[in-house]
Amino acid sequence: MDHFFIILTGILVITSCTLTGSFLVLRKSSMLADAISHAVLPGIVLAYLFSGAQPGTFALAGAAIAGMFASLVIGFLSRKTTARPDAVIGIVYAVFFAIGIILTTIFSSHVDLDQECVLYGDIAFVPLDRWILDNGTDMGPKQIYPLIILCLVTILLFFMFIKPLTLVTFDPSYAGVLGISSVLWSGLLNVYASIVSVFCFNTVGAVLVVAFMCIPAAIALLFGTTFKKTVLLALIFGWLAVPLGYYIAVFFDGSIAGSLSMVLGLLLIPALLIKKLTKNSKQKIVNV
Amino acid sequence: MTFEWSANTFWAVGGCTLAGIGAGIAGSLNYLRSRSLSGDVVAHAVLPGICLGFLFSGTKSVFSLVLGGIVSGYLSLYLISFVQKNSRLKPDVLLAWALALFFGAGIFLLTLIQHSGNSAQSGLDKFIFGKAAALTIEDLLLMGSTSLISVILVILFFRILKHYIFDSLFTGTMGLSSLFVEILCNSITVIVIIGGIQALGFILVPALLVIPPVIASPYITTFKTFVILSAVIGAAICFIGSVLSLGFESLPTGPVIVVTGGLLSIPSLIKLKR
Repeated sequence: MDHFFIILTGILVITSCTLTGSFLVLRKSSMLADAISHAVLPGIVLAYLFSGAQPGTFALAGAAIAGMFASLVIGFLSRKTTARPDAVIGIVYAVFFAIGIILTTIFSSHVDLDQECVLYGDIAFVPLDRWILDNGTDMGPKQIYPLIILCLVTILLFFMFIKPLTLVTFDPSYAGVLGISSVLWSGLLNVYASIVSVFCFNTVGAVLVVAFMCIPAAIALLFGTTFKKTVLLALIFGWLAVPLGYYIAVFFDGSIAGSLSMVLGLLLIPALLIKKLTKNSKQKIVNV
Repeated sequence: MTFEWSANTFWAVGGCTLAGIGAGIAGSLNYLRSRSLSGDVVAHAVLPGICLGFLFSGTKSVFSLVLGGIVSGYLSLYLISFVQKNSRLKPDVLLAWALALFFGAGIFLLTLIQHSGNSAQSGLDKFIFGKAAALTIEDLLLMGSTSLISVILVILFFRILKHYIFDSLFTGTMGLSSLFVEILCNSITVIVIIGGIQALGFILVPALLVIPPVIASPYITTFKTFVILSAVIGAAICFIGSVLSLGFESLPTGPVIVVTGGLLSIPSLIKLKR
């Protein structure tokens, strides 16, 4: 049963991440996912401070606010200055993370935060923390429920806003003519991406958020011809990679987060090979 | 605020400042190639190399760890340009891909090592989290030599770098392969990151490559002044930051350096206003 819940967690996370991350990848701001997942640290520390001994919801809210703030600062600076956008991302996330560490050090007696825990996550411990009703019924792991809600909300939002988001992504000037503001929609997308990464990194760590947001979409982009097909392919790749990565981690007794992210990354290489080979065979047919 | 200038402080401030020179140089090259975040990827990608270096040598000797880190850091950059040439994927997603792949593999290997029960492994992860306050003379030598190598490489190949960065078509017609310059820039990035990682840790060392060129960019007109100014600014940020952090004793050095750099970049960002 533990295996089932860990794989379910992974699949819920990868579904939310891929639906959001596909837009980030197509908008050429993949590294924003990396930046946000580092920039949430000061928010978590401050939330720990203000909420006292009972973190949880507060920490999530603090992290989400810090992540949103960082993504808005990155968006603002990239629009308003001539500094290279990637350099802006690099500065903002590092400064946020540094402030987070300084705060952790100053308030180390109040804040029990492990740098490594934030980075690697604790997906292996998901099945241990159960939600048990008053009458003793075991409702399964606690952390599953927010992830189910996140996943459903993400799917709903994806279908509701797919039109303006694809328009703004592929043809911003036409979107502008229609009165759809690209600044507004990309801002909203970045804010939502920070919410998703906060929910996810709570369970799987900062590294996996980057891997889950960008790699499935990257692999799918090799084969996809339309946006919807690409997203569907990305989801399928992601769903296959989760059990594969998990059982590799179990077999070698290694980190699950590390193995998932490694397997996802390695999948790009056979995908690239298949792409090359099928392309060549098609060309041969044409030549004949 | 009491500031005591002990030998330890000297090694720490000196080491950080030396690392800043190399970082400024590598950063200016990456900034002009729009590859500012490649430092971020390399800093994460050295982890699997460090783990493999440990697994092969069985000891925590700096030489094997550094060698492993250089190999895997370099491999990550090579893979990015390889996939970029063979697909229509954009550089930004490939950076994210390489970062996740190598760092994931690194964490996986690190847990394997930790579960293997080898007692020599304890403290291996400190290599990547940084330990500026506890730098020794050996670390100082490592940082000094990585910065020195990057300075020498840039001086030796200055004209080639300049022509390639601003007009790669021209260097192509001159018969100079872009491969050589790519290898050169990537090597400088990798060794500088390896040098700085011990002082700042792998999450913050990329900032040292990103901030100096941004601060320098509004004030420069030529490539030469850009590289020099960026190196000077890199050193200055590290010097100010490390002196500040050691003065306040309880504050960690890496983060203070980065926040100092972030604050100093505000005037430049205002100047860069569209």
